[in-house]
Amino acid sequence: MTEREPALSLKGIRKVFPGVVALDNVSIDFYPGEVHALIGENGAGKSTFIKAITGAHAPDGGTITVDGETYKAMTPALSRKHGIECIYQEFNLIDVLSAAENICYGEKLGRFVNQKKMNEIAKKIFDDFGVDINPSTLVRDLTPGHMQIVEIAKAVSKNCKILILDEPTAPLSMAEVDILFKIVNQLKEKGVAIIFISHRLDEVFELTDRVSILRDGVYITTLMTKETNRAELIKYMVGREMTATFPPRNAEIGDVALELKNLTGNKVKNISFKAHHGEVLGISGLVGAGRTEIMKVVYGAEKKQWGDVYVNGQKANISSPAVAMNKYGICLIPEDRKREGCFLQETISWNIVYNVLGKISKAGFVNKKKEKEIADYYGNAMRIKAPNLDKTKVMTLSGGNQQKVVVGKAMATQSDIIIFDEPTRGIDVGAKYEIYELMNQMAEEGKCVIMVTSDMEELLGMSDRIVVFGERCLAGELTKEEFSQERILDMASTGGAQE
Amino acid sequence: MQKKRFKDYLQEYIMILVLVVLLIVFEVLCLILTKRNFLAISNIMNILGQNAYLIITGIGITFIMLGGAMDLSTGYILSTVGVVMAIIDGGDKGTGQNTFFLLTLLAGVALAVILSGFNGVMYSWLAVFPFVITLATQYIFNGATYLVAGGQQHTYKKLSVWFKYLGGQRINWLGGLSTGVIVMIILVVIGSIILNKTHFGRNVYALGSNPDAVALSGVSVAKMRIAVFALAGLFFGLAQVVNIGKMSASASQSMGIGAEFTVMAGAMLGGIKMGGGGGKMSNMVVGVLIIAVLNQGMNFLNINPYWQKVALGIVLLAAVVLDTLQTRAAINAAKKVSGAPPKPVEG
Repeated sequence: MTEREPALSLKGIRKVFPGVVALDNVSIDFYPGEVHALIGENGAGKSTFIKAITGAHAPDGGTITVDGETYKAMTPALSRKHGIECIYQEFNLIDVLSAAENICYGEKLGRFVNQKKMNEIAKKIFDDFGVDINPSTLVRDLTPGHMQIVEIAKAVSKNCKILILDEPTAPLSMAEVDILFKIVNQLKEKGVAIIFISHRLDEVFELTDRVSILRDGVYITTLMTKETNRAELIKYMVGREMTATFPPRNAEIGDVALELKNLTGNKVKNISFKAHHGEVLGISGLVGAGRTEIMKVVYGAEKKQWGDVYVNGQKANISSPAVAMNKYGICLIPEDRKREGCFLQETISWNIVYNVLGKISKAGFVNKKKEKEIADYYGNAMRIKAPNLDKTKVMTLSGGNQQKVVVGKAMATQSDIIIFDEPTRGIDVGAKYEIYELMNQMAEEGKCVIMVTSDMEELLGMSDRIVVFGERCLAGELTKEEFSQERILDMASTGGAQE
Repeated sequence: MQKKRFKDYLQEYIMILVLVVLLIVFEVLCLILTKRNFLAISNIMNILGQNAYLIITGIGITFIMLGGAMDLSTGYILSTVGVVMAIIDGGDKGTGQNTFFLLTLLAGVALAVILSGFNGVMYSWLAVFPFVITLATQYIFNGATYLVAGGQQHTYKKLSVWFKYLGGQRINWLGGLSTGVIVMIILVVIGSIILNKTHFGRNVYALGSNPDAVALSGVSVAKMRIAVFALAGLFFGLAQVVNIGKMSASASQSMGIGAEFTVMAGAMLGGIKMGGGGGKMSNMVVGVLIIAVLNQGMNFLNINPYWQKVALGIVLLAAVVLDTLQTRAAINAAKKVSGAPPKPVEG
């Protein structure tokens, strides 16, 4: 099998982002007529790798060989020319056009728009797939499963030779997954090389011929799917050395501060766990498992379907973030700091005091003296590196310092329960360490710290206890003695095992 | 502490500089070409008096723009309120000596708050950029004004003399300064205080800067939006009172229409960003004055009014170009900072 010419061959691909090596010397060959799985934890570099193939990123090193031609970097036009098509999690369709119009979009079928011909083309592809979609249905009226099929049909109509599927099964129902797999197998028969990215290991075993593992941007190995097993894959995916150091914490774990009982949001079901005063509780799970959503439900920023939240043993009715913050002392530091966390166009001080303005205002007038005190205190406590707290706009700070501003803004509220969502994403090592120290300080003060994170080292290094989310449900809980990367990943990738 | 560089000062005060340069240029040109003194006290007082109501309107617009919204219906709110006040004040039977002026004033301002507040309610409810909403209410308000006034283009004259006292009385010992200008200064100060010193003002900026973060901070975005529009309505109502005073205590169905464009143009020219994200009350004042001086200056030079429009449009375009280039430069500078290679951990 390996004697054949690969359809696509990447050698020594390297990509560096400011502060991070996203890919380091990754070499993988993809063969026609094979489904090749690409797996790895959150942030292992799968997306960056895909983007190197599609031309969205230019690698800093290495070569890409396709159709016997070797390139230093692809461009979107070049990848299209060579028949590389990628289907992302978010569909790339024009939802006010019909399925057929989407499939034929950009094709020249004569001087005028030819609905009949487009519908014929679409119909033929759908018939080949064995699916029943009316080509003239508007995309916005299709189910997610059918939208995806339209995406694949669009790729096929462009004579695609290499098809990349990025987490294709995430939005699909069980029945839709079966149809997708059938189509993928058909394409495989026709000699298309398929790259399949999934968190769900069961699917890797069901569908793929070969599996490559990435970890922290490094290529680990490629195995024949038939010759490996779940445990081995997990071992390769984690197997990381713990190099980062974490500041010591001297906190006493006290009573239960926050308890969730069967809390259910729009997507996440029946989540129950407890978090204590003086504790750092880690929340783990794959991206999209619903961790962020459930925290927003707790915080009153998203609607709950059913279930209850207890704060200090009392049932809490948290209807809005205002209630969460002012009545129950819960504070959320959101995942996306630029979009939800801070006011980029305003100054550092302005941001830090924003949440507590109500407390330091009399008859609506802000007390300037108190404002300055609070801003200076937290600004200095956070060790934000900026020329001037009162003048420097948050926009001009580095990611780490922006995050410190957001943390400072949350700390100024003096909440008892602090929820961090991805507290150190995209910030450098030094700033990370400082954020950890701040978390420890909060725990030592008897506060309850909840940390949602995709960073395995941080999860193991900082948490007293870990709650693992499966896909949109709770997968389990681990005490400090039970911590292991393998167990966490195994629980997280089981997906719906409890249902 | 970082010292402010010359460039920063220039950026902050550039529009004031532009205003001063304009005044000087017009003075020189007028003296040479038409032998008139542009900087004569009487002319300056005239410019201020004619534009006081626009600047008061601008206070409301400033709140709306800083809060991340816009309003196309402002001028129509003004005209509606003007006609309603005129009718309450006695309509055509006015003698100028009506005793219930206070009622008229309160009713007019309350109506302005309600109309603008209605924009706010629709905006909060639909949560779309208020372009279409205020375009629609513009028609509603305009139609309603004519319905209330009985169809024909009509001017109500001899309204309460208090309108004049509040908006158009020249004070001789102040060089002919109009009372409307004094009202304007008081209201600009009040508006600035609300914007800079109060919790509410902070939330206005926050709303324009990042409504998602406002929501997560426990402030109701919907209520804030309604409040911003209602507060703006207050200033719109008062602006029309001054406007009526300026027109020798008379009102008509078309009075005030168009104010929204002059004022928004002025605010943008002065440095208030469309869609939120910073600016000060003084930016709007300076911007509106620049437009006023341009208009008056070109009048003094006997320039064809259509050329005046062309010139005004060019100035506005130039301001947008300048602002966009500045913003791009700032974003690039910010990218550079956050994209710097990580430094070794200190300590």
